[in-house]
Amino acid sequence: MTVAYYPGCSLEHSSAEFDISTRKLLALLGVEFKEVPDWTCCGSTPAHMVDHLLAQALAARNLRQASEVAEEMVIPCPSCYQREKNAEVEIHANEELRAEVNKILDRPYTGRVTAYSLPEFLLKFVGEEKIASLVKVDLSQLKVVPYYGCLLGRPVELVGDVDPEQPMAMDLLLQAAGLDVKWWNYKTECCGSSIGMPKAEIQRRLSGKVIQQALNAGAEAIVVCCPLCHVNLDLKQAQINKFLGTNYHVPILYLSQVLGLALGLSPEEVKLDKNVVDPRPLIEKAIKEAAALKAEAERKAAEKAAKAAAREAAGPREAEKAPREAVGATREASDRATREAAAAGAPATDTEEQP
Amino acid sequence: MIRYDANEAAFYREKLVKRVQADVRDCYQCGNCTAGCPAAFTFDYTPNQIMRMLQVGLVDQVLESKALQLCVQCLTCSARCPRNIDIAGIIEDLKTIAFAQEREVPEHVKTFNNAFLGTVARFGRLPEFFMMAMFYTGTMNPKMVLGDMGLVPPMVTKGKLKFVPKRAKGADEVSRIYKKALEQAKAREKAELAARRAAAARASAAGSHSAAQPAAVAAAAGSEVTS
Repeated sequence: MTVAYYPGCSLEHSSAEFDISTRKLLALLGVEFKEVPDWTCCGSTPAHMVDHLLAQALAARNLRQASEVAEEMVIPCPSCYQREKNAEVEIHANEELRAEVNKILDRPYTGRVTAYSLPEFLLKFVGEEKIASLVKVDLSQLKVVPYYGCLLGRPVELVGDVDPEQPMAMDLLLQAAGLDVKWWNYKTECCGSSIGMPKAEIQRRLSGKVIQQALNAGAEAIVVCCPLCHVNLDLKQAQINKFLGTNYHVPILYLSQVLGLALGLSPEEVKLDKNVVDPRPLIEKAIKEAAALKAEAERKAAEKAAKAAAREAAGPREAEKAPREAVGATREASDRATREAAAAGAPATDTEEQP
Repeated sequence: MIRYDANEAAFYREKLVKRVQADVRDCYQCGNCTAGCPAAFTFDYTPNQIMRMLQVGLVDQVLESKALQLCVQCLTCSARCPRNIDIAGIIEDLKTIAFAQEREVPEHVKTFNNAFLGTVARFGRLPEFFMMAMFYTGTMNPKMVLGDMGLVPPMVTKGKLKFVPKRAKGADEVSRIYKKALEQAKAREKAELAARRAAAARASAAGSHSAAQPAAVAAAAGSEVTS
């Protein structure tokens, strides 16, 4: 199956890392995709604030272009996704509107293309199991909160099987990739994007709250799936700090970047160098911590195995009588026991320790 | 003095029912929309006040309010309304009506929309730097440019800013769509307004208070648009 891929204007410029990492991730997951030929702007926020027909027609033009290559279209940017989905649902249900839209298009849109957001697409067409089976890098020490923003959970009629107050798609994907996903209450709060330029105050206050809530939840980074949220939280974090008198330094990562890293893509491949608040130290630290924890766990397991083996070698009755002696058995004996246990290919049982 | 206007209320109620399938009369003022609204702290009227104003026909005040322009379209109000009213949809639609009626509106939202869509109509896609330049020129407020100047250096060093805009292949079609859609919208609002004025004039000439039946006015407006 080939899907159409609609990057959108933000991914061409200010969110190039989202575009590059998403393409790499899709390729890694074996998804065949083709960029929508000669796509244009979806109209974004301004179009539907100015005229409904304009918004639907701008979006329908892209649906028409996508229908040339596929029936399904994956759209990483939720703002574009929202516009395309809106047009898709309305136009497919209402032939009158389709005719009205087609009147102002150069060539009519006659197809039935379905738009998917990135988390929805990954869950439906790739699945958590496949992602979990492909994990190469242990990110279990990376504490994150998934931030959905407005457009992945609302409006209810469009986004389908999503709880508008408690969406889970990103949580599930991040958990499958092995991250430490924290629970928080700001998943779907607004970052103030659509009014960011005309009224910066709203954006700064709302984005500041999101960052603060993420820290309160125990997260060290926020995972987003929206170029607009990313600009507001990452690029504008310095402005927020200045405006609110705070001192935040919270890396903001794209979902595609994090999943890519977990599945073995390098930081260069997912373009971590393009994030304004540098996430690389945090990620290096998390990977090191995970490695240290793993080594520690292995050491403990080996020790335990050695003890258990030593006890077994000393005989069950004696072990019961004098456990201290068994533990304090000579190094040689314990080493031999470990080797024997390893040769037997079975981990030592800890049944003896149970009362 | 504030005057309630039943005709105005009925006219816009019907219009909204037709355009966004949302009935302002369903609102019972629980205030849930306002409680969840992240931007209400900057509004002149809160979302539930807007609903009440629409119910009683204070439509001009709503169309020219700050609240309408500063709505962030996060759709929280619509998701949480216990009466299932698409409040954000109503606000969005009133915004398009204010635009089509070419009203003067507060804040710089109109400037932003014009800068954004003008740029898209010209290039097919959105060259962000060009749009930002258009917007800041449009605001005629140097303070706003200075506030955002700090964004330029990180964007440049991270390679996120392209200074020279490029025209996408579908740009011609996009600019035609833009022109046709806006012309249609403006013509529709003009015809509607003319029809309503004519109906009101007829009603006052007849000396009757109840002649300006909203339904009849809406029908007249509809026929004028299609003709």
